[in-house]
Amino acid sequence: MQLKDKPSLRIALAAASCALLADHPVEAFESDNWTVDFGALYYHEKDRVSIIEPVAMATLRFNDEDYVSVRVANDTMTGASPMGASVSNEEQDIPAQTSTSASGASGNNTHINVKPNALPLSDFSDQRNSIAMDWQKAYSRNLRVILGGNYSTENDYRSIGTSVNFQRDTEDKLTTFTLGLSLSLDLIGDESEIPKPLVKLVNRDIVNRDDDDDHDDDDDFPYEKKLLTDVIVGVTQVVSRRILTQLNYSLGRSIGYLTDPYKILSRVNSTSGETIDYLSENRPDSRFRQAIFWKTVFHLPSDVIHLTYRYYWDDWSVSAHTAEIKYRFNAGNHLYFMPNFRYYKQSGAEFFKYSLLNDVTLPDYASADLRLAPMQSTTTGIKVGYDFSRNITTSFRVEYMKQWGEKNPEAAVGLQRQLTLFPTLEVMMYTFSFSMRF
Amino acid sequence: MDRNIEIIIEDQYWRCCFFAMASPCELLFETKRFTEHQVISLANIAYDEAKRIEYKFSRYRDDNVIFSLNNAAGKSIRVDDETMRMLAYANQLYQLSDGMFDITSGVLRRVWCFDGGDKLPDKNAISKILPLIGWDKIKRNDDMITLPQSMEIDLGGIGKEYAVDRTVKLLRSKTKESFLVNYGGDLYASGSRSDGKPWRVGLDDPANTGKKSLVDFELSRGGVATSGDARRFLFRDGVRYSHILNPRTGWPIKNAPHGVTVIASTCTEAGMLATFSMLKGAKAEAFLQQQKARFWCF
Repeated sequence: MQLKDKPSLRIALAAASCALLADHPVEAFESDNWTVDFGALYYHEKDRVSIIEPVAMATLRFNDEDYVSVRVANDTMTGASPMGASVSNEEQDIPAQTSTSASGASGNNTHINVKPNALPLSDFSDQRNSIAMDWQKAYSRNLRVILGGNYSTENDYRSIGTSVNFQRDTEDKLTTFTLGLSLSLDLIGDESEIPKPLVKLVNRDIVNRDDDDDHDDDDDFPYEKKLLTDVIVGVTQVVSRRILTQLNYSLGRSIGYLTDPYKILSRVNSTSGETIDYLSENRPDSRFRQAIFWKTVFHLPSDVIHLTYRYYWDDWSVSAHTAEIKYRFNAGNHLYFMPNFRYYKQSGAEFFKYSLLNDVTLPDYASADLRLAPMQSTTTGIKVGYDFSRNITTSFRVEYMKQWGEKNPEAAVGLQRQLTLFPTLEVMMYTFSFSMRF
Repeated sequence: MDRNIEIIIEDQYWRCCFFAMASPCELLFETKRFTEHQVISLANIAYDEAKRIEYKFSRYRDDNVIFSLNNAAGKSIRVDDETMRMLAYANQLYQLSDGMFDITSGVLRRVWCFDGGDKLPDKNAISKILPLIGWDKIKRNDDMITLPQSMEIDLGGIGKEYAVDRTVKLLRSKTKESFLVNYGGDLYASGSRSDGKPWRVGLDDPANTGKKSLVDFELSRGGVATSGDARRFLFRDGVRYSHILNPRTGWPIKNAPHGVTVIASTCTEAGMLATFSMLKGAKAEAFLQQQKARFWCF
């Protein structure tokens, strides 16, 4: 018995192996084209604001590099947020502006009653809907462009924006340069009236801009506008098999109406600290922001460490440090735990005032919004994730944030020295997410 | 994810290593051409496919089509399209080798133990097994396969090369860049490296003396398979018995080379040329020369 020795054996073998490898879609894994993500966030400030935000996102991948994604989110915000009026040792009756609510109804509560030693808060409830789209296209092996667009709307605030991002890799693929540009236009106003800056609020005597004589004709446009432009440049570098690092520098400018139409300031007696009346706030009409961001990821044999640091500064004299560490423990093949800790410290805006003093000339700009005050916060949390399979993952994260301000601000006068002008804020955040590829 | 893949970045390559089909498997991607993200994605695809084939065609599992076929006790079993194609391929090989390549000959492992020692089996034991061998005894129609009682099929001789070629096919649908897939010595290079140069492949000593790179050769595109006995032989009275057995006699092919490495256009084809040549015993080298194959004999 001889094996067929002719060279035709080889041809026959080649033909046979071809037949064996003939494609049949049933056997191969379908390429993962679609990814769908669902998430929900529940944000709860103790005694203040609660937000529920469900999010859904779908991503369609065309090939290795190109994709399109759409993200929709809905925010339901309820609760009470600080008005800006400061804490007093006496009961307060603060004139309220029209309260903002989704129904757009004008509030009948022309005054808000505040107990002694309590931070004045005003109720609100609002809905925000947003949609965002991204499209990434690879123009060559080393160059990718991402185009983005977003739109969001809430009761009296609308925002529309667009962005473009370039990513270029070096030949060795170990370095990636990023350049991003974004533009956003926000429209403020609609159901509520925008107050003039630093005017005294009496009952519902809000001076409507339309009543003003020297009001320009082209202000028939009923909305206030805010234009934001941002640029970001960055480098991502694979340092070694285990270390990846990233450095970004960003700058941005906001111009337009940057004031919060709902926030007010208390005017107090310069000696005693007693509240006299209330004024609407006013912020500059431009803000120039810069930030540097640094991130390093360490891949240990089983776990991963994420370290980030951000330094921010702007021309309102706000500067802030953010430092965060996250550590991912992989427990087995499906489960992971990721505790995180974040520290934030911010210096106050130069026009931030806990309250205005009555014997001092009214400044051009003033705001008592505690988000512009000197403050610190720590956030501690843990995330648990579970991979059901290659295509289905889920996670749940709980975080606790504590935010506090100056204990004894120099600017406190009289009775204010005995009060906590910046009450500590505590927040719990619960985030659930689910992702599926098919 | 439950994939045990190690990804290492070497000077110019990403090297992805995992264990499948009882062999160390690796993939090589040039760092010039692939990002880490791409490499992870491709390694996952390769791993999933290697594992899929391992689980589906391994004779060591009790939950796959092979187990059903081998334990059907004479009943007909319906099989899927891919299994059908594997068996059709095995049939082609049986025909082309005039019956010397026979996937039902695996039962001989019950009497032969190739551990480098000198214990040969009892002649009676072998003659009892011979009736259980014979591909022509298997019935195939449409999608139904019938094995007579106690017969077994063993796809070990074709599985690994098939896995390499399947992996290459899947990776090729994801990237145009060239890469190398190596499953336990059965490998495929999908094209020249980025600078136009071929891949350098080294052959380890098949006699397992630990000597590395007996031969270095260059490969731009093609499959490589090795048929070798390493420790799987018996040595007695000056005669070396390789583990490649003649399905008709139940005895090893005499004087087959210690190892044969063949390069062909696919890994499957290379694997078959290598196996066929071993079945020729002393005539292995002549056979490969006649087939105009690129090869090395040891």
